[in-house]
Amino acid sequence: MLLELSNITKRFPGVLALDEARLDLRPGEVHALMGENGAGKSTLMKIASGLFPPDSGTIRAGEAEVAFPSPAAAKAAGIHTVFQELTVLPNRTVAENLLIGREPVRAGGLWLDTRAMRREAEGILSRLGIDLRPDALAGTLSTGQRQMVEIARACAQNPKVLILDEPTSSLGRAEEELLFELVRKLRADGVGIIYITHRMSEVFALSDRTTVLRDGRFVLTEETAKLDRAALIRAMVGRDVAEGRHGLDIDALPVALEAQGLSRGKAVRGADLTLHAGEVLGVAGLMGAGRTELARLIAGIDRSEAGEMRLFGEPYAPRDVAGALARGVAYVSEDRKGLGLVLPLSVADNIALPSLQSLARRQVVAPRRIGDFARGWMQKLGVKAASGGVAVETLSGGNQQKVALAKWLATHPRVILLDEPTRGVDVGAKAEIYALIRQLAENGTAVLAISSELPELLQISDRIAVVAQGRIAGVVSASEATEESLLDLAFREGEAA
Amino acid sequence: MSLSRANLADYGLILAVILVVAALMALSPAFRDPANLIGIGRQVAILGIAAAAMTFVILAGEIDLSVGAVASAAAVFTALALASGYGAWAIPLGILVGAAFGLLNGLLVVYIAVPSFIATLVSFFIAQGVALTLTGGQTIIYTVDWFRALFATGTFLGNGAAFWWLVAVALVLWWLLGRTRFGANTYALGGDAESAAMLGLPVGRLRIAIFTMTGALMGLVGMILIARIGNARADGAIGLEFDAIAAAVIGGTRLGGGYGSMPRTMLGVLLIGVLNNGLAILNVDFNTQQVIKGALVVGVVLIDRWARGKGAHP
Repeated sequence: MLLELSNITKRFPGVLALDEARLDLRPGEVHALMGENGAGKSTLMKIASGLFPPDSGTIRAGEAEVAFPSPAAAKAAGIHTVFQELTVLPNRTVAENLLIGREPVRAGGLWLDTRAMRREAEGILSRLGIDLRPDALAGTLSTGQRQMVEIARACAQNPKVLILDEPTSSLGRAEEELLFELVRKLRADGVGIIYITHRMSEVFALSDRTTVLRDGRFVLTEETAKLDRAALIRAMVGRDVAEGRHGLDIDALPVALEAQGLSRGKAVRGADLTLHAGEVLGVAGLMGAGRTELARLIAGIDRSEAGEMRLFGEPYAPRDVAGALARGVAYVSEDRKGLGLVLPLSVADNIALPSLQSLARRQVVAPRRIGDFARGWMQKLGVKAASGGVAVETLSGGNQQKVALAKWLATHPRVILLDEPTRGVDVGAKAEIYALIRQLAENGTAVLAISSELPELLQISDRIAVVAQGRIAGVVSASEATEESLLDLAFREGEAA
Repeated sequence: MSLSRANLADYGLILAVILVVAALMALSPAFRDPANLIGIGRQVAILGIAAAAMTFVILAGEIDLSVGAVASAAAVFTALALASGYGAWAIPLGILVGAAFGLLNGLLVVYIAVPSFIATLVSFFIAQGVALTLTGGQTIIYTVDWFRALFATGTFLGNGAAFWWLVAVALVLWWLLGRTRFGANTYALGGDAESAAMLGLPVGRLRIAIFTMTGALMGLVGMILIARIGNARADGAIGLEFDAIAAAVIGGTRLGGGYGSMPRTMLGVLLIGVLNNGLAILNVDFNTQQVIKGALVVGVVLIDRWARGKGAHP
């Protein structure tokens, strides 16, 4: 065995990212690693690359048990990784990036041999068939080109194990072909390759074996030839489909928000969307499909570069969050800590924050008014806190999320966008938040709920829109949808584009 | 080649230096006196060394607010040693004092994960406290002529010793930045610290080395400082940190780290030096000089941003 990860467990604050996960890699094989968002694929690979240690479990390279206390140690063992987060340095040239940490030197290491560096970089690029100038500044390259630099850097170091974490996510067709060719060549040379991808076609085209993780746990390792698409999706999903509440006549509801051809950069590319007052529209999609980016356009955080929106029939083009709020559109961020809440501030202050203007008399807000105002909302949502005066950071994830919801509900939105409303929330609080979402819709609010948890979407939504590659790949009634059918939509578009 | 935006970004600074020098030469006979021009070299030595070190620190994505206080403290230690008859031992002592404060900065940043802005502020206060305690607020006077000649008053090829120290330091740091792994790693660290760590570069050791080197150079600055005037005060180099940052920024060093070069910082130093000298000769008072320096920094940043074709910050 080239590399063997056994019973790897890793806990981050609040989440069990890996629970006795395992994977073994043979020389000269391409091993696909699959799983839903948050299944623990990247975490497992970061452990194999020495970015952080496992809480328990063993790593074996060859026969010996090893530990990688640092990325340098993993590299020394011949394990090279192309991370999803690119590590190409924008302020350095292609050559400097390719050879970083192992630059050719003269005079016993005193002097960098810049000429040899250029020559070596040219050699690497031409050997791999990559058309880039060695002295181009990496910051001026496209994402795809930077991805190729990243791949070239790993391939040039004669890896024994090469880990590729979604390497094609930002590549064009030609670059993709180049990469596949490269992977096959390395396999023929006996390199073991772990290949993380969301694209089924790549799994079947490239891989010899496949391992599936789900919720941080090992599900299966199998010869890819013995698997098919349905089996893979079943392995990734694994659960029984949850029962939802359905039977709403969507067409009878007034249209709250209509979006056509919304576009911004590469993330959102011509999205069409209709949201009715009184419905919960779930939004599904793979990581990076453009779900959050789409919501940000509607919420006025980013401005769309093309397309148009109508809000209750009126043209709607928010310049900023305040503009969206004034029209009754609120967004509850997935990034509770960064964007959603001011953690050191009190619960009451957080809830009152977007409503200060309406609470103020002559631009002055009496603390007592804030307290009364917040108390009402805390009761309504069942926020469990000693008082409105305690800092939000002392609350549990579920209660923090309720505070975030209260904060935006207090602005009486007509349209509310919820991004991962139950991330980092325990089961009990989840049920309460689901009930709250239902109640909102029943009161006539238009609710758009983004979630990476398909069972959750199936449970809370009336309809589910699947986003892929910045577009809406399809909208299905939640009563007819299954996890399999949703994943199928999400993957199908991913391969067509 | 026409003067495009990109060219302006590259050559605008040289152009500014040439314009300022030409204007001052035309305006003032006293300025174009060769003795005055050589004097500028002497005047910018301290700023130049501090700015060279600061460039290294900023390129790595850090900042060092302690350089003035550390140089002052090193100066006090050295002057006390000289005044007490320790002779040549005063030199390694001064360097070691500077390096110790630099090491403290590095350790705070790396092991306690204090942002360098805070860590070096801590060193600033400690260095000031130590220097004030040692001097009791008095000026330390010493008379060791060879020391003064070695670091300031001596001349070589028509230029003062202080100027040659600057040349030596700038050349060595230039070489370190552009031609060694140490320099390449410094750029990498400043370009993207997280990537640098993921790439397996020794980011912790690197930060400690950069701060320690800066501290040691501030020891040298302290010695040049006291060699010029023959005495040391606890506040001798206070304020140097801001001039050093200004010179680096005028030279195009980006405060976020990763972008900048030693020759360009030296042009920034030259511009400040020439302006200070010329304005003094033209009898512009010191306070006005400060205002002009401030305007210069803003102007350079604006031109740089325009030349890069980027919009203003949101």
